[in-house]
Amino acid sequence: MKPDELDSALRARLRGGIDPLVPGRAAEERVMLRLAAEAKSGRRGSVFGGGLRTALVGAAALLVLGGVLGGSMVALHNRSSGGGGQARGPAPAQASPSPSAAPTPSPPPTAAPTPSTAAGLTPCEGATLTGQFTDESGAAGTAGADIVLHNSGSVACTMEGYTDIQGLAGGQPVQLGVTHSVGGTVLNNNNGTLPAVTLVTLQPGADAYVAIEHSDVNSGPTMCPSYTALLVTPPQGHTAVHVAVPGSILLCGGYGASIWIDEAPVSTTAYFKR
Amino acid sequence: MLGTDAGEPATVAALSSSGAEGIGEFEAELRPLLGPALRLAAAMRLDPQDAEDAVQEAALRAWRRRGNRHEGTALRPWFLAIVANQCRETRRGRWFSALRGEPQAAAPVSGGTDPAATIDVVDALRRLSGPTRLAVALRFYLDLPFEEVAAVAGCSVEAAKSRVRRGVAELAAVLRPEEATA
Repeated sequence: MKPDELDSALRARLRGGIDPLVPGRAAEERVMLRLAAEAKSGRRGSVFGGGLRTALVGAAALLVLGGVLGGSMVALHNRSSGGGGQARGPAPAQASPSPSAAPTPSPPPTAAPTPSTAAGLTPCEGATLTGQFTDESGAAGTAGADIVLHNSGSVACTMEGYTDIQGLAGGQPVQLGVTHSVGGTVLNNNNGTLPAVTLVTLQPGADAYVAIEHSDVNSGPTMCPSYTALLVTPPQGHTAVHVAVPGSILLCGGYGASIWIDEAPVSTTAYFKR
Repeated sequence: MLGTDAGEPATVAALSSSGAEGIGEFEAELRPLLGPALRLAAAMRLDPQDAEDAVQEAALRAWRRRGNRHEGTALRPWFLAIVANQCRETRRGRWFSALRGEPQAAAPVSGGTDPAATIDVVDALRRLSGPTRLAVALRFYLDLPFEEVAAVAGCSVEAAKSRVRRGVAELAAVLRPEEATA
């Protein structure tokens, strides 16, 4: 083989081998956010209070010492949202957090967990909604989609803020590590503008939208679990709506959860629809 | 998640406009380099999370040390050198790898890439010394000219060429180049 051919072949092999290990565009956005926060604060330390790596060490130590992270890690980013409708059973074996999960700080609560009182309407419940997974979009290592929540009931109801999301694998619900508008590039449409929480009044027959974004790239030796459906509990609601996922959805870790999903607040307009 | 005291989500624009003189200009200059930086870090650390961590720390370090950058010095080699240093330091300081379990194989791949090919390349790269791996990554993965390889690696151009040659020979022996074009 000639030197030029060897060089070319090695380049191809390196690309094929390393490219899958390169963090996606969402990572670039996180770097920029952290840099901006650092510049604003003027602190020399991490905006995450010591750095992700320190947090990783803490997570690993906790795993070794306690072995009780199964619920707590994924719960880091979950809001209780009034209890949730479906029983949140224990996570299956593949859903247990890996030592690589980092306990990054919980997002600040951006949606009040109290029922909306707009015009005397009651909060939407999963029982009166139907859900559809649609508008799938993706970038390198990150995928997103809209979840359409359709009011199939006979009265209007309200939603304000963020839903709770569980994954359904083998018929078993698994609580996911849900973050709120972390700001991945897919979710914020690459413009750095994070979605705002608004009160949505859903008339009978009308649709509302929730957007999700998740990583589908493993960062460890274990395959990320996949789910055939999501259970979505409306904000301030108590029961979940079953949302089938075409094929399945692969959810990898991120933001402190071994099974991570980011979501945008309920909106009257679709996030990903072009 | 980043957030303000009021609980509102933070944005780059909002944070940038609220202080830190010169951050906007620095960000504008840095942003196009994040892709190459993440690629370099991935080649050096061979783990996506480690790569992101390294680039995050490198970006912060670059911001803090921006005053040390000589006027007229291109940002790319300067920043990539910081990334490379960060990758080295992370490697040295990784005492907890036994707890976490240092990945011995590449992460499984989505999107149609052959996982076996990834594992082969990762294993081959892992055999290279740090300086050699850096030179190979800069030259063959980031396609940088030798002058810039040398600038990032902190060595002479001749030394950079030598490291690349050595790396190519070692990789070729492991990866069996006759299969490389397959």
